[in-house]
Amino acid sequence: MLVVIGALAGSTAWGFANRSSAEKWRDRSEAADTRLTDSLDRVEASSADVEDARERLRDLAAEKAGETDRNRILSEIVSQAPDVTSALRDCQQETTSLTNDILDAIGDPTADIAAIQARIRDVNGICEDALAASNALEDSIDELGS
Amino acid sequence: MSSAADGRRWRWAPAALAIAVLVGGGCVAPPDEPEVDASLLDTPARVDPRTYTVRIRNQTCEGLGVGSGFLIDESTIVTNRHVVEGAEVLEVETSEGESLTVDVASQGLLADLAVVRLSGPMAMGSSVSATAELAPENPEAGDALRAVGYPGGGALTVTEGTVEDFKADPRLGNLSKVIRSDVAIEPGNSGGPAVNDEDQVVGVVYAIEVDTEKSLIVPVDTLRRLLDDTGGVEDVESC
Repeated sequence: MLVVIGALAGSTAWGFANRSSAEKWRDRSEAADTRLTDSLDRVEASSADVEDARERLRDLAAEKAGETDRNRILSEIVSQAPDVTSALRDCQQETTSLTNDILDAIGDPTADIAAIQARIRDVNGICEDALAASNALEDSIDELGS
Repeated sequence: MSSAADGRRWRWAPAALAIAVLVGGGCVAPPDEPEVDASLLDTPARVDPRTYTVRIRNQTCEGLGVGSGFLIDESTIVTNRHVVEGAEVLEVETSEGESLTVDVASQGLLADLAVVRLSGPMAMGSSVSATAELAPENPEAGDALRAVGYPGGGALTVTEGTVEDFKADPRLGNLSKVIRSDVAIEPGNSGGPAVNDEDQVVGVVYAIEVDTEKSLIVPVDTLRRLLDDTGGVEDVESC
């Protein structure tokens, strides 16, 4: 009888020890869940922060790219401008010269009408080219403003 | 007789009590079902198409042009032929402003497609963390798609629409079919990717149909054929 009681007492003690251990593990598990939840919340918050930062970076990159485009267009305008000026000057000089030739030809029975007509065609061509260059420059300036 | 039997019965009572204590004492209620939502960890990582969609600046003798393109691996960009045509200088930038150095550009002969090779693979720490995945097959009418690109050469945008039908390529006639879609695009979107719900590339945005103002998109199978056929391209020559 004593042996049985002793065995039962030992088993009961083992049972309580086991319960205590199980309770500790349960507490640890619950603490781990809490830590995991916190970590996941932090990961989610960090992901959102990173996405916000990337969005801001994209906005800045778009601004920078736009500025670079405008600089390129401005460089084009600056490089085209002397050619356009020169073409318009040619047009103006040729037109003046042609006007003088026409005035001289008026009342001159020996005037070469065919040559004057050819000159008119040439001057028209020069002025059309100058106008096209000027329009292209104007388009570039408009693009810069948009 | 009965008292002897009762005595034997009660002799096992302490043992039964001890076993009950042992069983009851050793048991612990399991922890409650954890309410931790760990689905974040199980979600497969998806690649945001904006990370691999690049901005292409093309300086030709006729002026400056801006289009879109996308990285299909760490040194290859797909775009439209008309985006790189006549290039004297090609400049490529990621959506986060990183400049990529171009080595050579080739344009497709049978479709408005082009391939731009970078002078080397992107460095570690590049803003492009992943490249585009091509869909295994063309989309079907009714499928959703999104167009990613730089409309008007401005900020990167994503627009949504659906596949309406396939029609003959206006440039190539019946030689090739293109996707017609209601997704909103503008000049500058050209060369950008059209992606499906799984973020796979299903086509390359390339034009707006004049009559209907619908978007035209080169389908992914045409792109695959171009990438498989090295003889289907020629070097881009400056004007």
